[in-house]
Amino acid sequence: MNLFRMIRYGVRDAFKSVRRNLSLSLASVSCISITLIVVALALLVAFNVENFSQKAGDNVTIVTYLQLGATEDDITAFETELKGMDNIVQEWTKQTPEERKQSLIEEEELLSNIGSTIENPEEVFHYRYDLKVEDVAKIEDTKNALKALDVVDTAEYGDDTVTRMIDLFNIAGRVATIVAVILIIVTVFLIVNTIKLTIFSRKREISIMRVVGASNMTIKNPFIIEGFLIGLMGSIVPVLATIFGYRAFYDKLDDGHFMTFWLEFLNPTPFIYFVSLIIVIIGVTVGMIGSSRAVRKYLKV
Amino acid sequence: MAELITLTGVNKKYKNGVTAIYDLDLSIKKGEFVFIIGGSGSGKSTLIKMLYREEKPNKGEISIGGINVAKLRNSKVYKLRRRLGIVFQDYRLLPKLTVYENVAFALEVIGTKSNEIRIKTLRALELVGLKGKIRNYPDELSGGEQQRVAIARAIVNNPKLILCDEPTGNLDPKMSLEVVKVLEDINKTTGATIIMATHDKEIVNKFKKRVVAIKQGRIVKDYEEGKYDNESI
Repeated sequence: MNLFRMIRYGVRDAFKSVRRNLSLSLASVSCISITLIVVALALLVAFNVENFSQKAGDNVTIVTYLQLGATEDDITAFETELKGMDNIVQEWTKQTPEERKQSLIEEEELLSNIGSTIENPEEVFHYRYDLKVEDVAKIEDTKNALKALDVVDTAEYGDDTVTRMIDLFNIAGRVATIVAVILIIVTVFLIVNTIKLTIFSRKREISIMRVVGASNMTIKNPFIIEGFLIGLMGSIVPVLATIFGYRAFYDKLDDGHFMTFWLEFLNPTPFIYFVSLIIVIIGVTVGMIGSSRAVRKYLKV
Repeated sequence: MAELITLTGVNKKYKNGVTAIYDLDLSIKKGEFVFIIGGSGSGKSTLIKMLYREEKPNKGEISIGGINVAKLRNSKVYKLRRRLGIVFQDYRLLPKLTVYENVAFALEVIGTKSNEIRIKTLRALELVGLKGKIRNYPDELSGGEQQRVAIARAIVNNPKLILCDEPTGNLDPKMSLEVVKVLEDINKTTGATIIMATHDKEIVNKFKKRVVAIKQGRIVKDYEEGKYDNESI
């Protein structure tokens, strides 16, 4: 059959059956809407946390001191080790004991006399590395990995409120994701049931279609399209909520910032449209997964 | 005339263990009108169902117009059915559609163009004598008229073969006669082959067509211009 005509036929029928099973269709649509709102929240949180981590990561440094008397070989081995660590930005500042002695002399007038009396700085000063991380959420692991090296004396980073807050956001994002996944599963089942009812209510029509030689595609398409429509209608409210909700929230912020410099939220444009697109795609996919499951299970052709 | 249908060594055993057809051989020529007669459970419905590939034989070959129906894949069955017309005892009309829409439906779902649908639908309804009732709904028609709508739907795509499974089973003698007359007309005017399963003695005796009698899944009689033979049933 001409593809265009087949799709037109399918769409017309899908609309008809949404109207015929209005209450169940509405239930499916609302279920998808609720699910997608949670999905939208999870997405908004996840993308923003990603952004925070990046911003915060630029401002957090792990200060690492090597053991006193580290040899050239130790240094080379340590730097090779650093190159192998994914989370460490591969540009770092390094201070040798000699350099540290000099900076001590230059910076601290009081101590400059003492400083200049030190003859063997490597016996007094540790090698110092200032390291930055790619993902601040994993900074604790990175610090521990550094500490585990024999050559490292200490490794610390300053403000751990940053990481604690990011942890918190991550947990919130993860909870939202779990809830969203559960809701998606429930929604799929509800859609399977909606389409099942449509299939049963049109049993006679389907049997006639089979007898007169309608192709399997022609018979199945309206139901798949019905799932698609339910998904599409279900994503309307979540998309509006995302667009207007996030805008309103962002407008309340001080130029996108919340409390500190690094808690900078993503600019609504084009971010909300991107999130909206993902929501529509998820909605439509969930609808079509539900309907194709129902078709496979209940529509034997 | 050339053979349209040939069955060779066809066996059908249902999953519940009932054997409906034993080693059946049958051939039907183009343009024939054949009554398949037999009592309940004789296997005549199974035979019809195998011809439109609703049932698959366990053994043997069924060839319709060169298509090996027994080996036809599920996904290709629709190609066979587009070349057949099928009429059932219970009419199988859609109650919410008018007479016209019911007939046009068969063309719509196979993707026929709309002006072609209109021409073919009206012609089919004219052939069964229901052109005056195209706007009525099925429940406004008599049983005979409803069955004629079903026949119009079966012939709307100009099939070369029409299969009828007890088309007069729900009708009184007068209406039965009317319906079979319509089928006979179609057979004569369009040259379509008609196979009709029935246990309606009067009809069979009146029309003097080829009669194939089936008993317990085997062909027991095959007459040209036959009659309903009580002994064989």
